[in-house]
Amino acid sequence: MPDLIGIGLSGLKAHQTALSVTGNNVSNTNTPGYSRQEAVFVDSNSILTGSGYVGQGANTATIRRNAEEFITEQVRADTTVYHERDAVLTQAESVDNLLASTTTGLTPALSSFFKAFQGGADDPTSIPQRQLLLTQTEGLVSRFHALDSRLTAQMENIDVDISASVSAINSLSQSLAELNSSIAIAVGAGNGDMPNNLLDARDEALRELSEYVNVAVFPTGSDGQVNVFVGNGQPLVLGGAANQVATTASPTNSEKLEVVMMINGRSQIVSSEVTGGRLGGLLDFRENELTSAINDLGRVAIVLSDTVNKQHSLGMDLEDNLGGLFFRDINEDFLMQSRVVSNSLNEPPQDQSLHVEIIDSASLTAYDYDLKFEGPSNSDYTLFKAGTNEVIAKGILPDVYPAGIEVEGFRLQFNEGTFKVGDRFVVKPTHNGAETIELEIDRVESIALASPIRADANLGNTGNASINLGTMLDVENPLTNVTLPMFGTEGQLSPPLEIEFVSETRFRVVDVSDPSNPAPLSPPMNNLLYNPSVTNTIFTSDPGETRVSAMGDDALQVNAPVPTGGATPPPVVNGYGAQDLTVLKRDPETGVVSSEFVSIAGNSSAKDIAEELQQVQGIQANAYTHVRLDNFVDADNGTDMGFVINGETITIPLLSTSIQDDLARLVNENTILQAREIYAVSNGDSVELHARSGLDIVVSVTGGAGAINDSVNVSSVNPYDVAALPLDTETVNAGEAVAVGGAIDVTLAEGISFTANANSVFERAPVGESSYLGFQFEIKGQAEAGDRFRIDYNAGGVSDNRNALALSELERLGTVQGGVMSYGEAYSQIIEVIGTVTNRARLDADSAKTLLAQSQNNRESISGVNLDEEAGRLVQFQSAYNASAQVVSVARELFDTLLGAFR
Amino acid sequence: MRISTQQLFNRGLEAIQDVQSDSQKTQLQISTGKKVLSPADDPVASTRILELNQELELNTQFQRNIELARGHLNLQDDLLGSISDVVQRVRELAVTAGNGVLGKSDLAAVSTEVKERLSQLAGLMNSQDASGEYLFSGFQGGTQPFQINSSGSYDYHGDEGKRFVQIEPSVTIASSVSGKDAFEDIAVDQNTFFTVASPQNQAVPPGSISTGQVVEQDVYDAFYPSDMKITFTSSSTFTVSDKSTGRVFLLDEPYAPNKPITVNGVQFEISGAPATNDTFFVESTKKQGVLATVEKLVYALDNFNPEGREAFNASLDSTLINLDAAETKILEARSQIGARLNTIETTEEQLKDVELLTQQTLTNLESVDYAEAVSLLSMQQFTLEAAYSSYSQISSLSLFDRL
Repeated sequence: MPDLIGIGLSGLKAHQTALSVTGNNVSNTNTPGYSRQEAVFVDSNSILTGSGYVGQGANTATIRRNAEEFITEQVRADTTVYHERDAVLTQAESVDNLLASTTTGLTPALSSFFKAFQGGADDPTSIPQRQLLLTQTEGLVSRFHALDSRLTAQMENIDVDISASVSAINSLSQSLAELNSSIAIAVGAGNGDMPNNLLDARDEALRELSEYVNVAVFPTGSDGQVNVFVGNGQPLVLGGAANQVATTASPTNSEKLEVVMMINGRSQIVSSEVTGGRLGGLLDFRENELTSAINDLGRVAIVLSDTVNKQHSLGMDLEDNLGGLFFRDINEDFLMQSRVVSNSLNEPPQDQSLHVEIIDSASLTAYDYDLKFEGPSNSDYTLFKAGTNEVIAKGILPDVYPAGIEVEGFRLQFNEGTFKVGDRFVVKPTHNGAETIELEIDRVESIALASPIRADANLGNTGNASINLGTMLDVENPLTNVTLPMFGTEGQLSPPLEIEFVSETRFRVVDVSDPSNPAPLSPPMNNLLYNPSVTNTIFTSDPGETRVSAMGDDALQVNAPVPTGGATPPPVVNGYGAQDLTVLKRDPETGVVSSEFVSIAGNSSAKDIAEELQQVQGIQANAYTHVRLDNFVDADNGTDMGFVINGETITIPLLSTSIQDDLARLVNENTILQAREIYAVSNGDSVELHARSGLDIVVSVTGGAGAINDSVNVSSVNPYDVAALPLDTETVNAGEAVAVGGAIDVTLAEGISFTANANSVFERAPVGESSYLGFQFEIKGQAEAGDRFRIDYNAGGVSDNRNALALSELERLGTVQGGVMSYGEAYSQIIEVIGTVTNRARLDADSAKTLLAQSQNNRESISGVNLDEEAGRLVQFQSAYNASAQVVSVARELFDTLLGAFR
Repeated sequence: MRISTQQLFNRGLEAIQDVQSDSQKTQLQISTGKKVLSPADDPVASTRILELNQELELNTQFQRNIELARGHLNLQDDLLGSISDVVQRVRELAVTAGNGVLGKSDLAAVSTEVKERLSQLAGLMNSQDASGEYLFSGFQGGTQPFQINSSGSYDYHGDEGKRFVQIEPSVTIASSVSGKDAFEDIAVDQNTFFTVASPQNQAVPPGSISTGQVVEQDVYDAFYPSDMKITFTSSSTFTVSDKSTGRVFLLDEPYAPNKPITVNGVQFEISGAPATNDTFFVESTKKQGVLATVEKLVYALDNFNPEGREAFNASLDSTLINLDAAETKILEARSQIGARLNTIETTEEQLKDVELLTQQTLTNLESVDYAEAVSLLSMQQFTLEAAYSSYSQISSLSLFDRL
């Protein structure tokens, strides 16, 4: 008979175990990471009897843990994503609220700032209004500072969070290593039975770890251990050993922390490799969103400082001084140097000095840049957009310092030092912008709301021409950054100018520092064309424009052929030598130099030379001839004195009271001379002959009966100093003639210069004088000869608000990002970007949360404990236990029955 | 699906939390009246809201500028009106003076009133605004525009600057009239001149030149429009020459202070002790200021001589013509002001329209729809209550209770 007691006992034992397992399940209902367990029953080996195999009862084969590796992994993955997005969301929301709020954002302060300028324009003399302007500017500056420091503080908070995450990761990886060891021992001892509670603990530790960082888990083999990797395969836990993670100050920015990992005793920065989880989210937000928000804000501050400074420096303050700086100079030495940070890991000596000068704030981007010396030689450098492989510039350092490159609105300058292969620098043009913006002006009187120039039409003007109030272009030449001579002395124009019309269509500009002796300018502005039907700009707007003048020293030649009369002037010999000119043009964009040749034939008139030069693009030439006739000798008054001027015979009437006045009158009445733009002015003593087209002037004195001893002195007048001694004087006797050549003013656009092959009309290498004055005036309408317009310093112009208007206009102008965005728009864009990031993070966090909930549900539905189920099992196992006990009792009774039979 | 006990509790709680956070947001929207609570709610709308708010600020500023410009222009218009009235009165006096019955003493009485009127005119032209800025001196708001010079006549010390105010994006309008435009730049019937001393003169105290007058109109007309320059060749001699050609009219003339100098039909006096190389200018013009016209009337009245009645009458005629020209000029200035006020008016209307439209757009973008929000909130409340009661019912069930 089979061992019924044994069978009963095995049932009792098995169900007792099952009841314990169920009890354990009930107790662990709320234990995190706990997986529901169940006892697995098997029936014991049967024994072959005569009647076949008879079962030997039940056994508990093992205690099974209800867990699915796949689902556990899914939970880990979703946990990582959720915590990453959640970390980003928390950070982004804080920036989002900071920037857009009406109390902390920049927009209201910016608005008030420009409103104060409008107020200044409404009442430029009002001190309270100016005080308000200063106060509002201080408000704006402190708003920039506050925003920047809040963003920087957030950077610091992120550092604290990063440190906390790193220590959590360390303690988790340590306990994982210990669990691995325990599991290996338990698996060995258990002889195939798994240590369920240790496995649960390890899965829970891995899940917790994935809250901080994305992990990859690989089982090692039969001993039940796992290896844990982070990032691009950096080992965190290998079996029973854990690698340490730590934080260290960034080599390129001592204000932020980087995550490092100790592998084989060497530390390695893994910030950019680590992804996922809280740590990944924080690093991602810091490197992308937060850094670019700080840079963007800095860029607004820099563009604002730069553009307001530029406009303000073009103005005049309440005390007749030029405006100067309004905000702190963006290119202060300290600021320029603070924009480049050298990597602290660079090989010594770290003696390199670099700086970043902002040359065009409108072209600035909000990026940082990496400057790397990657070889092959020590002078090869490459500038990358930070964190990318996008090359911005590449070059080779020259032997002499300073040297630099100009890219994206700034100039990166290498001042000195030994640059070596492997050196790295971070270039941050805009990062400090918001932090370092400061108000420079401290007195209300120094706010420049007026413009320093003004124009006045002379009350004696007979024409209808009118001049505008003038526009300031520059106080310093933008090409050289040197103060323009016009503004060399405080409180005045050096010199004050007068625009004087010499005819309806020609004007000149003279220096009227001494109004009784108007002097020519240097370089001269003589004989300029005026078109009454359009608006005429008087001065050049090209800061690089220069002017070269030639007046032909030997402008006088005696014994030119005596004309025979008639309309065509005979060929003349003015003594100007032949010249070959080489015109060099440098393209301002590319720097490429090209050349062009101009050939001037000998004895060409100034007019011809000018026309020849005019063919070259970028050259304007203006020719005119000025001759003085004096010492008239009418040897035998009573007969007529006669002249031939450029082929036109002029006969002075008999008994003339003034040969000079009659000559001038007759010249001016001659229609052919009029057509050649030749006219004369007499002062009763001498006659000035002008050829406004630059024709040679040929003067002869007619001889003949009674005029044999007539003569006149002919002088070539220095057009750049009329009052000085003439360049040359010849006495022309009856029957003789002279030809006088004219002067040429050659205006060269920026980048153009020329050289000559000989020293005749032009010098061999004429040096152009800058003709840029830094302001512009416009005249329109019908002018008359003698009309004058005076241009002077706007001294006492306290009621002028032109600069205030120009300053308040800046609010709406495109000044940022290549001139497409205003300050306000640039700031709105930051908000929009952060808003979008926050919005996306919110959606991502929501969906990650849902996914996590789903996978947790999946896990729960497999591994979670259901109390109702356990209650059922308790009843089930209890009944089976009771029944097994009954089996034992039946076996005993059977035994008793058997004993009773033998009694 | 198998449900674990933990799941049962957690799910219920999570659902309750979700509804709670939703209804909290709806509540916040209702209490602030704003649909967009942070840029993240609607990044595009929120930047648009920011821009619209800025536009509104700017609009308000333009309306404020208009308010100020209007005040300024109205003030100037009033003053020009008063000046016009005084000119009118002077004209009446000039007509009265032309009455052949009046003798020297009658004319002296007329002269007394004209003098009064002259200083009244100057006073009006030197008006200041509330903050003490001179209204008619162009940019030189701190300088009294009409000042009496050493020869007792009024000179203009301002410039032709005009102040502009911004009344619309890229539109500015002049809010001032310069004294030069309104009272000086007046074309008159006959060629005349004005005198100036060179700012480079060295004498201390500086020598001065009188306003002078045309004594022989036909001689001067022949000379016009040339200018003259008086240069002191020594402290006791001077030369008069043509300013541009250098033609000499008087050479090394001996100098005596206040001795009338007559050249090319004009007469003027130089006083003081000019130094060598000091220069004075006689600039021809066909323009004459209102004050100069009245001064000339005073001169004619004071120097009346019964034998010279013809010259006196000619001078009165000229005065009447010039006063008419002055009045026309003032009228022109006033009509310009009127036109600017009109522009301002229409611009203001436009700005108000734009303000209204912007407000509406802003409301559409940022204001919450109360009907929608309130019904949403009650829906959320209902859900929350349902969640509470179902949670408590479900969680109270357990098989253990039945064993």
